[in-house]
Amino acid sequence: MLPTLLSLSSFHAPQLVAGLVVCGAVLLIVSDHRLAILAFFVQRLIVVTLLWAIIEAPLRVMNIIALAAIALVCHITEWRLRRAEIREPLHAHQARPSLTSPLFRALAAALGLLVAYGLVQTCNLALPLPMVAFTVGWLVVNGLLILSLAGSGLRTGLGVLTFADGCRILYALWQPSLLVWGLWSVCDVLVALAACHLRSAEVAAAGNKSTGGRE
Amino acid sequence: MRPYWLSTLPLAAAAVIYIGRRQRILVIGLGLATILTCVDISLELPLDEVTFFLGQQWTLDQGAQALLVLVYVTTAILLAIAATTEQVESFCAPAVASAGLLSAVILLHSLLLSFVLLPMALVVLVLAAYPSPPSAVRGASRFLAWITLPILCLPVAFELLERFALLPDELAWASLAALLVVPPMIIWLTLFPFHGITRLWAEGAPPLAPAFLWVVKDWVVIWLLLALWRRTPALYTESAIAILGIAGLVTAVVSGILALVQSSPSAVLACAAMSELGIALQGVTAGSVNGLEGGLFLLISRSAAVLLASSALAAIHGSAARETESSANPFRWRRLVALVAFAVGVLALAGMPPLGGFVGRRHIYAALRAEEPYLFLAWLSASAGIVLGLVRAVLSLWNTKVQSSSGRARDLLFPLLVCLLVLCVWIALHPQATVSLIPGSLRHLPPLSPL
Repeated sequence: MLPTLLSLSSFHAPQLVAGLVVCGAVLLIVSDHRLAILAFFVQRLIVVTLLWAIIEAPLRVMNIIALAAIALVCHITEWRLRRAEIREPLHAHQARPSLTSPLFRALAAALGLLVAYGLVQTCNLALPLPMVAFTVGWLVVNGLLILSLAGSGLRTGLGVLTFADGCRILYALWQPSLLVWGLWSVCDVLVALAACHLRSAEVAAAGNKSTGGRE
Repeated sequence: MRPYWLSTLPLAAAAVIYIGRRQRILVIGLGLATILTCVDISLELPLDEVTFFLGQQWTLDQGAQALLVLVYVTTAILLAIAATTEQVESFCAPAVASAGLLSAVILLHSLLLSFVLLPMALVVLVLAAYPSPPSAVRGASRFLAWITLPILCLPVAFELLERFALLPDELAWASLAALLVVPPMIIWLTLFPFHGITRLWAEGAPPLAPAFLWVVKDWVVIWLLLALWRRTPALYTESAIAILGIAGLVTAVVSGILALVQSSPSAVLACAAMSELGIALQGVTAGSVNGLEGGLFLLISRSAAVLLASSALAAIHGSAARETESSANPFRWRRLVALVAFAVGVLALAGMPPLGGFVGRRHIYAALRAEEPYLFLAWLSASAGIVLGLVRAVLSLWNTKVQSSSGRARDLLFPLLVCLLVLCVWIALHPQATVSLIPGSLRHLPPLSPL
């Protein structure tokens, strides 16, 4: 298992970077929250795999624990919301729809890809490989695009975490401290918690509004 | 007792409060007991003693002690206000946890770690977002979107400074490092163009989480900024303080004028609080000790005014519910008292003489040595916007029926209101005594860097 991961995690692995681009684009384009969460997990898993060879064992463990904690938080929130939806099927329980159409968001993803590619080609980022620079650029640009087009708290959280993933790769190349890495992982879990809390609050607010409307 | 107890104790208590958040008495009792214990510990701990925990140095100096006491006392007042509202279950645990993390930010010797911990403390507060009204959730979402983004700026600034120390001829690195400090400060203080975030979060309900940001978070961010400048004087450059000063001025004017068009009293309070913060920041970045003292005085006066106005809004919601329940008393005296308190709080933030805002503005104006009347006119326009917004808010509050499900605890708000009202007046009447409460270590700035 470990040798396979080591070979996979090489930054020469274009398949992983292509997977990252696909996941990022799905995360930006789809309007369904569950699908977006799934795309984010696959993206995070790819980032963990990419970082596998260049960081030390304790940092890898922290990455995996943070990923598991974020998955748990998101899964529990979605499970609770689904149960609430089964008990009280209100149309208003849907989160506030995004202001932009999927076509617009697809175009935004294409623009993000272009910007990330342009950054790698034009700027001297002093990174060891162009693939690393592209990965960092794509995650940062895609995170900012998700943030700017976010129509809900959950999307905002996923945007922040995507942006943080880009920064994390940069930091991994710069002699990471164990404590800072640990704090950063805790911060990621807190962001996931906050995003899930905002999603629950949005659903509750929509429920209150529809109840108030009926009264 | 060691300094790290001030961080670990609130975090542990927050976890217990979160688990038992359905038990109102437990939430309020444990929250208040934890915060008051922290006040006691912070006053008992020996000063300037280094303790190691998690491989880091933790120290408590005089400035940190004063700031910690301020953080805990304001948090305790906010918890007491929250006890009378429906938001108590969602507010207590995040507020206590955030206070614990902010204690670590203040006590850690490593500024880099403090700057990493600060966004964590602010992210925790997003958990206090209450579903009603929906704009609060949108405001909290925007807050979450922005506060974590500048986290990398400061490590990069430190790295650039290290390179500058190795190669002193590369002045551009030091100048860039000084400028890199500015965007995180603008975002963490939610200055223009982010000044609307807390207003959106505050709209439509007694603003508890936003009030925590105004009276606790802003203090800690400014304390960190001053600590950064004191420890690394190379970052205290003219261009950096000029940008921050301009951001403060624009925030003050835009927020003040925007108060005019707000329909919610909480939004008017938010605009007034942001406007006052902008002016206080102008004082802090004036480049002189007088300006710094004026800015810190204005921050103290602002904290008291925000707490007064927030508790008044909570009382108005409670009194409206009581008067809806029994309409035997035709004169709505409870609401009148609360409205007066709200008006005094907002007027203090607007800089109305003889309240604290006016006294602080006078000090800062003198320190800025403005030769043209433009600055005075800018501040005046902001104050006029706030006053007109206040008139509109008071009229709407007097005529609107607000429903609340809070219990008898709301009666406790009136003694608290009176105490805060007295405090606001005392600050205005005794500016020198208020300034003398600020420790000398906080009233000190390095000379401007020649970069």
